[in-house]
Amino acid sequence: MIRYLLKQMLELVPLLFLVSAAAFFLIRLLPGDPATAYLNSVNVPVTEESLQLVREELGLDDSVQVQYVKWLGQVLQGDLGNSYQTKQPVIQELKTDLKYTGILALAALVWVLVLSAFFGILAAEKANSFWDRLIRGFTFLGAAMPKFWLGFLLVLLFSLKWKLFPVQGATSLRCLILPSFTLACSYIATYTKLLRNSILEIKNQPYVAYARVRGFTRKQVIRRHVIPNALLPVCTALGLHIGGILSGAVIVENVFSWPGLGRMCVSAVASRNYPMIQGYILLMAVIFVVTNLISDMACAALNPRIRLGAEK
Amino acid sequence: MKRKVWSTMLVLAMLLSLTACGQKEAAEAPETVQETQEQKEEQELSKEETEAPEEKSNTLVVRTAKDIGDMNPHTMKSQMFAQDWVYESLVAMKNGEIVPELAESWDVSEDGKTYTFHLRKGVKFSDGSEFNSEIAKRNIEAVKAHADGYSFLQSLASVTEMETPDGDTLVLHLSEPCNSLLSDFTFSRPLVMLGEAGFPTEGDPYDNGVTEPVGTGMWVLKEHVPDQYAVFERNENYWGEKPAFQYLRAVVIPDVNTAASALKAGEIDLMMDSTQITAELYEELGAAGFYTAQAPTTSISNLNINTAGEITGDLNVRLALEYATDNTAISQGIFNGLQEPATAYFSQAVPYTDTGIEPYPYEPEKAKEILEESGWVYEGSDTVRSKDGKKLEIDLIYDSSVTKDKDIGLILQSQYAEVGIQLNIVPQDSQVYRENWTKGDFGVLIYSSWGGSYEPYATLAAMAKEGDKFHTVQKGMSNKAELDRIMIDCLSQTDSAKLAKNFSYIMQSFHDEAVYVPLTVTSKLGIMRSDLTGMDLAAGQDSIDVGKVTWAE
Amino acid sequence: MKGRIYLFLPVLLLLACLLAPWLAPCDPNQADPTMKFAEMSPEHWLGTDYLGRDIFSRLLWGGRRTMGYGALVTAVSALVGTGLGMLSGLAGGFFDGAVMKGSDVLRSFPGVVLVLIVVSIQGVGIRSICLAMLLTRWIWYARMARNMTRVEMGRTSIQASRLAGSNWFKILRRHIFISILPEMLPVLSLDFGGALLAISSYSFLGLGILPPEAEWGMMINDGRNYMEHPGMMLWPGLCVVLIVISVNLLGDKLRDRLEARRS
Repeated sequence: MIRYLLKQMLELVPLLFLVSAAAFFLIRLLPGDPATAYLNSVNVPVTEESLQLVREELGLDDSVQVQYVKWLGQVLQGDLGNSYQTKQPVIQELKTDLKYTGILALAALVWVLVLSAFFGILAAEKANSFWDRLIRGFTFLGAAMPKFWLGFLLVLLFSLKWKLFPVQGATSLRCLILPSFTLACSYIATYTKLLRNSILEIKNQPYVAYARVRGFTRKQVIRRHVIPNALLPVCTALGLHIGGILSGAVIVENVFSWPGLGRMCVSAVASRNYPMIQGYILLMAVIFVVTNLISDMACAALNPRIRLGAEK
Repeated sequence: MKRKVWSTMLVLAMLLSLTACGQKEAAEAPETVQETQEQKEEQELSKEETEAPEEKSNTLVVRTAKDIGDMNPHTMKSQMFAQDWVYESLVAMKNGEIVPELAESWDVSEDGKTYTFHLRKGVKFSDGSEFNSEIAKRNIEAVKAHADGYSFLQSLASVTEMETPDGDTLVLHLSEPCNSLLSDFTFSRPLVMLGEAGFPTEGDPYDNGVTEPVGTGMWVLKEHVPDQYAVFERNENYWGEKPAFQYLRAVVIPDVNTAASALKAGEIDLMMDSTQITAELYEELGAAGFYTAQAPTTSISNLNINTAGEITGDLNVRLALEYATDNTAISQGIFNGLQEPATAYFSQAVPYTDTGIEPYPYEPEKAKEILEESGWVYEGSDTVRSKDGKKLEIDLIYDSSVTKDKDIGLILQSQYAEVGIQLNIVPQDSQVYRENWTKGDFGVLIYSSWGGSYEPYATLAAMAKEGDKFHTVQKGMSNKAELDRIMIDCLSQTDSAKLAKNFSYIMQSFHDEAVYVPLTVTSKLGIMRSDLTGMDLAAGQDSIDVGKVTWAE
Repeated sequence: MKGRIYLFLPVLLLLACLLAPWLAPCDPNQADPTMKFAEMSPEHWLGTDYLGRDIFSRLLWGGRRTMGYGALVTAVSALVGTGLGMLSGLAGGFFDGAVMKGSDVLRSFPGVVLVLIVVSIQGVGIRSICLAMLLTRWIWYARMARNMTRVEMGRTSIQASRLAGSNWFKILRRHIFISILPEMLPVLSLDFGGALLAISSYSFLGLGILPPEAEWGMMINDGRNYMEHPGMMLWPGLCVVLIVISVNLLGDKLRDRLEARRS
């Protein structure tokens, strides 16, 4: 198992290296000179001399390749450089933003796990009943709602009409409820469906019937055999979705004025804040590959065939 | 079974649309307004019962579109409204006029080269330290050391010497007269006063930041959570009338619609700005019982025509654009009349610039005539004119983050289509927009002039500066060299008769060469809860002046 | 006939949008500031928007564009992805490795950044959004096609065909593509729904606006500024929801069929 893990981790190194290069060179395709953008943002006249000064200060006077090598050297030492705008270390800025987006994503995850477990099990238990159909209807609706549209409807009803939750802000737990639910909604739909189908599939497996024959009650069988096994595909799928939830938060952050990575990323691109964009891309890539790795590991732990195949 | 799923969905969709329609009815039925207001009062009464200590809170909550920034008074990285709250300068600008602030009065010598400021006595910084001529001199020196960093300050370079004959007098000696000196001191930054305790131990605030944001203004920064909110406390040492509220909480809400919802939900008490609040929001919230007020600013939204452009280089085309523009339709259609149609590049409140030149009237027939006579004719069944095989197609560029410019563009597009000009609307990323403007890579563009302390001198300086985007627009004017000379002369001309003559030459040139089509006068809109009073919109368009806001009796 | 009803409404909507030039009562881009926010009436079935443009006409014309671009993105990404995937599965070795690494890199890129970058380069507009979406959407197809190609390659029928002297192209077309196609169809349908949602989301962020043409996401984005007139946001939103629900249902149906056929 450990050898498998190590092998997988080793494979990530060249991937992250490629991502860093892609991020670095891709954002240099952006039209608009970051030095000019910086001068404009601080209201300094754009002249040859002032441009030269700023280029030196921001380290933009080297050739792109040299800049990349320098930046990579810094990154390997755990330094992502400083933001052009605030002059603060990128890591520090990302940390604050990640905290808020992380809270949002975590709360969304709670919604997803609780609600999709409840609805999924209910739908599977009462398969083809009225409840099942109602839940299925909701899953289709939930999956088809544009997030921002849902966000506005929720604000309209829960904040303005019934005054239950605040419209915006990130200062208390009550602020968290609407944005996290908006973010979670489409995933709740997906996982409810996934769980329902996987429960129904497992119910038809011979070992479940065998357990019944052995004299366990229906409830016992469901609790001990069906649900744990049915949850496995859900967990592995979640690992794949976490990166998506984090980067999908940009819309929700926009609707609910939630501070976080999305807002930061949009403004960083607009002001050509290269170190911040690079840092953001790298951070998201790391999160993406790590969560993928965890879900791979989970798969391998559950399914020895994968593990053995890799060790051969 | 699928059919049943589908019908469930349909029912759900219907329900959704019903709730939304219900909202709409509630919002649009004027005869029920009174009822709802009564209901609201009831609600508020019940709120008073349940949340009695909350009522008449001593914190005023205002909305800001951006984070306040690092509160450094000498750099551009903070929001001006927040710098205004904490810091003050020698003089200020209200309704386009220069008024005393930390200087009670000032004298200017005959030759315009010596300014003597008589400072207000007994002014203390928020930390209790005294404001005097020494600390004023230290601030000006710190700013002057980085004069290159402030393109819009014309006066800094000409200040040669500073004297402090006593604690209440500050004398500035200039190498040459400078008309913009006083207005330079009205900017929210950098010529504002930072207390002794705020200066870093080494170097200037410009390079090394401030240790503590100590100012003489009404408010003192207490708490700051970047990108979320900042709390300010009343400055008990303030020399003037102190604000009624003890705390001021500035909440960051970038989206204006979210802000409007927050206002309705009672999460914020007040919002004001001159760029984001739409006429519809303003009217909707007004109808919902909020206090609303508006005031024109000195910022004018202009259509800038590229005088060196391929097609717009032709004076006849520019004249046709002038005659084909109906800015009343824009004022009414987009701003519901909240922004008046403009008459010239500068606001009438800007000194010397109201020279009485009549703007071009809206006469589409005249525009057609001019085009026809100058060879721009319809070929075959074309709906767009052309000349020598070239189509009369003009690119309008605008900053895609400014939504209302898109709407202005759409209206212009249909107005110009009527006279046979095709306007292509090209939204551009802010950076790209500015760079294309500087390079002259556009036909026409929409831009709101700086307004406030920038007018007219800082703007003139930019227009006369080779390589500046303001200069690019005018490049193709037949008298550009002479115009530049006169604009530069304005900056240091002390004879007011000559100054008036200069300005009349400038305004006449803009008119004759058809460089700008004045669109609307930007107004500042303010909305606050109805149980507050004292909203003041007179300060510049970027400031949020809440010093006099208090609970209504 | 039973079970086809979920196709009825969207097909109707699709037809209406296709026939927009004949069905739309007004010019969708004709701004008339004097008629802004008109109520529902015989002339303006769904009222008018903030510039006095007919919402119903804009809905029809906008649907052409939204669904058209959605379909285009889906089709192109499916074609490119499947093609690359099949080649990669067939060729193996270095080419396979390169394609898979490339897709890994793109996959771990946050989508928003890609869109922001392409929009800054290409200018604001739905074309930029589509281009950025293409950059990541082919990956799914490529991976699926590659894995399935590898499975197919092991089959005796293909081995036999190779021995019989068929060239690779023929094998790809005759055997592999034919067996992959049914697997792809439900994915295509679901992906189309996803593409529609993505287009409208990016439009909402203000990246898809290219005035004055109508497009559903952009119409919702416009309506956001006028919440007191919910019609501007409601109708295009409902259209998006309806279409996405039905293509998702269609996708499920196709998948059910596929599974039924397999077992």
